[in-house]
Amino acid sequence: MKKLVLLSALAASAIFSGCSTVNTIERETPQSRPNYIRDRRLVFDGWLAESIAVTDLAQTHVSGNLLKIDMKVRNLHRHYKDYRYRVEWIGEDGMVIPSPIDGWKTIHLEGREETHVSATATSPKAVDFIIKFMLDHE
Amino acid sequence: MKTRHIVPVLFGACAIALAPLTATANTVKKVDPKQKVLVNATQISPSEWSEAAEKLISNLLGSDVLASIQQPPAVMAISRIRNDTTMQIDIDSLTKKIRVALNQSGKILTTTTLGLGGKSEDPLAKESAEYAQFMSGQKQETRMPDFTLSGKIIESRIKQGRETLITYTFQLSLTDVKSGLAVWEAEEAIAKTSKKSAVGW
Repeated sequence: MKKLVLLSALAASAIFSGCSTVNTIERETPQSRPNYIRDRRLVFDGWLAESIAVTDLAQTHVSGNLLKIDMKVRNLHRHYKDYRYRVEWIGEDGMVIPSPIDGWKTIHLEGREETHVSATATSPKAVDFIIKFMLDHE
Repeated sequence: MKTRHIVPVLFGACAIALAPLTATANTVKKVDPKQKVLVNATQISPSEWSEAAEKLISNLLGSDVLASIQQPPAVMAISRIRNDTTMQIDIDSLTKKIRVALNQSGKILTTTTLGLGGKSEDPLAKESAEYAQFMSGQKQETRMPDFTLSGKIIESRIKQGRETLITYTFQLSLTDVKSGLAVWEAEEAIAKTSKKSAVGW
């Protein structure tokens, strides 16, 4: 019986050793007033949609006329995950504006961790954007 | 052996002889350099250059420096960006992305006829300006830089057991030439771990 309990404890520690979740503390009433925007989502990977939550999409302009977006992303798992994301900028004519920094980027999130991800357009012609997410399998 | 049997035998021999070659042949395919992520311990990969440049550019564009330029575009010259790593690296991998981003923003343009120690990035443009000045007898107006970009790339390696933590730190400063003050400074690090195999081969 003792052996069984010991083995169970060892198995549980082995399973949960990979789990590290994040606790956060913040001001009860935030002073910031972000300019939140409504979004439209196309979900082709249901598992990914249930793996990462993207909320509070906001926009502002920096350096006078450059569009900057910011969003909250949360890892919904109890263990760390790596995700990749990419932001494409769209001009008034609906065409993509190439940017030297529009490649895929990696974010590492601990279990249940929430963080802000932001991106800035390099061209003042950018008026819209498309954010793409995927799991990092590399 | 009859002649009609020779052809299939020759085909068979060729197939057997060429089989190892096809098995060891390299396969090459084109990939999107902005998508493929490959990292190793001895090099900074294109995706890592992009990641560092993206963070530095976002930091610069988000600062108030560009908004405070009175008559954009201002002119920037590339000063010394020191490579303090053990690798032979092309600093342009970082600076070019920053230059393109600033160019696209319309706030800052980079001069290619003025460089560190009097060396110009585009000697033909410099010579052409000098030649035009000589031929016309009128002084050509070359814009002097309002800002200079300088910095350093540092490498650190920390070993613990079989694991090595490799960190590349990119430090950049944008200096206002008139005041001599660094009006923007940023530091970004890229870290990766490398683990040696327990088996020595």
